[in-house]
Amino acid sequence: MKQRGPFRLFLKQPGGWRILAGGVIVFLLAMATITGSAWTSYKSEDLDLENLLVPPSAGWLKRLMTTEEGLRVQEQNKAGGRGQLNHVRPANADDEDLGFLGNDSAPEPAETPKATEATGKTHVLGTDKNGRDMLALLIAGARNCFLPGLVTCAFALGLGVPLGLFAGYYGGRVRKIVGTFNSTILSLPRLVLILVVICALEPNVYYTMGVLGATLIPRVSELIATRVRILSNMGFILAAKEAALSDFKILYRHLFWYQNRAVFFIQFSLIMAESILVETTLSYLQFGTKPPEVSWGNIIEGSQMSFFSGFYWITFFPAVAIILAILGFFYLGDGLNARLAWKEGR
Amino acid sequence: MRIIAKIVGFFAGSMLLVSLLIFAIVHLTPGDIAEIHNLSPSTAHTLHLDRPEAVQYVLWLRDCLMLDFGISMVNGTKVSALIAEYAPPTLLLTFGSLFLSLLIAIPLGVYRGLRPVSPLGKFISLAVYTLSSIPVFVLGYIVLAVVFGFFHFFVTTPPEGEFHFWPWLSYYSLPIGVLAVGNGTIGEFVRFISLEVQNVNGAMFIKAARARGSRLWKHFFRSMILPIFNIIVTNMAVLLGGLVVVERIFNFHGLGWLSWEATLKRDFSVIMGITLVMAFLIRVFMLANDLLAVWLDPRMRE
Repeated sequence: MKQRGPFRLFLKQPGGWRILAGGVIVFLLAMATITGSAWTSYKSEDLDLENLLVPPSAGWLKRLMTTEEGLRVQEQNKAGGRGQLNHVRPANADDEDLGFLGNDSAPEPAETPKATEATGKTHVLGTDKNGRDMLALLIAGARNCFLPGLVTCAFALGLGVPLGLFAGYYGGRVRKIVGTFNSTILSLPRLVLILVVICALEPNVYYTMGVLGATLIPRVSELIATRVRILSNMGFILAAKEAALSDFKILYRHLFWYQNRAVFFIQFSLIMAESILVETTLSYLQFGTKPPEVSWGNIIEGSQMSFFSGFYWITFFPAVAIILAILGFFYLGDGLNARLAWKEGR
Repeated sequence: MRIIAKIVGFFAGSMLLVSLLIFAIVHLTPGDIAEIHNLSPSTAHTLHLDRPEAVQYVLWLRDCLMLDFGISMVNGTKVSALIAEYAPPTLLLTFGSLFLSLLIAIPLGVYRGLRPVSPLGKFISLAVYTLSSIPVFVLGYIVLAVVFGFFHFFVTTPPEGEFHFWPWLSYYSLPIGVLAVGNGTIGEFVRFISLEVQNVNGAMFIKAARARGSRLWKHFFRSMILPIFNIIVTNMAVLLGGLVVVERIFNFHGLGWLSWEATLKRDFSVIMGITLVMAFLIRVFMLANDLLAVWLDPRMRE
């Protein structure tokens, strides 16, 4: 018999593949958030004006989705883009050097692509209409959806877990109050409630994500409360009460940390998925991250029609990034959930 | 009778709380509303903005009970007239997509519930979860790209004049389809229905019915009505939230689009009115759910 390694065993257990796939994506996202655009050749705020709307450098990516009509539009735009540059260049030169350069600005655009090639800098995923590097934009966008997600989690879990613990453990009036709060929040559509808040306050991603966290409190607190209600009648809690442990210790050590921390991490992952969804959606609706700052949602919003005119890479890569990020957190949470159910049922 | 009175009382109480919440968010935040919009004293008076906050709330609530949500702060039209104009297409969109997602989710959910470990069952759950975790706006964008890019077919102006089937269908089918499939609703539906079918399938009364040799679908049907209605009600809020995005993508003039525009212009009375109407719709569904539960399940009557 062949001995199975621990890794193979892990994959065999319920949710193994989902945890692996989700974990890899979440790790990459976290790395992108931490490093930022330190390792890319362009920064997200660099405007590479010589290379507007450049397709991805790899040939297969270039041909991937561009129809013949799209190629024609690209060619046209290339010509148009050069023309524009010629127009802009002399004006700048005149301002700064007062005709020092004279007329030799005309051959310059032809030289500049060579110059960028000489430095070895390429736009791996192409550039957008302002000449910003798509890869750098995606990484900046990763940061702007990861950090607001953490704010959401802080609100949803930081308030939802204690409320759930109190409601489940004390029951009675506390449970009624928490239940009323939950049903009030649940009877408003999440996005519409967020719109009301945006309307009332200055639009700021972090406020909005706080509100999103508040709307997720019912889910967390109800989940924790039902689990705690069952647990609090079990022997070990009765014993802890007999041993005169303080309520705080029973709640936080015995009921939360020993019994419900897995639920906490699962919910953390699922809420991150939810918040990335809402953050990108709000940025798409122009209420989230504002244009100088980059978010995957506002890249798509800002170049709505580019897909139809041959520049697929501007909207395609952010869309893929959004879907992958959400799926990553979702699979991680779902896989951990399956694993928890399996362990508890065993 | 007492339980019905209690349910209705709960409905009224929660509507009161919701209205208080909406009012508090808008009015207790810093910034003077009349100043933001440079309102004339007469407009401010119609919106009761010259009174103390508590009085404003009572007056606003009284007006809302009489279906008068005030006037728009941007152009002075009556909010109730705006809502009446924009609500019908939205209702069609909401219920159409609800119906479509149930139409897709029930067979898939039932199959997955009956054969949870079969390859097709596993594939269904994976496919449905993956599909439903794509954000609505990305999905809508993909659909638009495909429809426009390959079929050169693009309808965003609402059909006017008399009723013609094809223009009407082409205008409504895309948003309805995107709202039904995206938005996470279909994943929730399939997951919930398959769990419920699994539970019912293992129950003793189904075993007994199987032993008797009687028709099973009747028993299934009776025990599935309540859970399905329940999941519809809990997903109503998600569906109405998705409206904002779908209507924005497809330029579909309904309540979601109106609320988007009201937020852009910071039109407080419009957004408050729309939110209240949506909350009312959701609460009515919850009320119907509770009453249905009491009617169908005698155990609830105590």
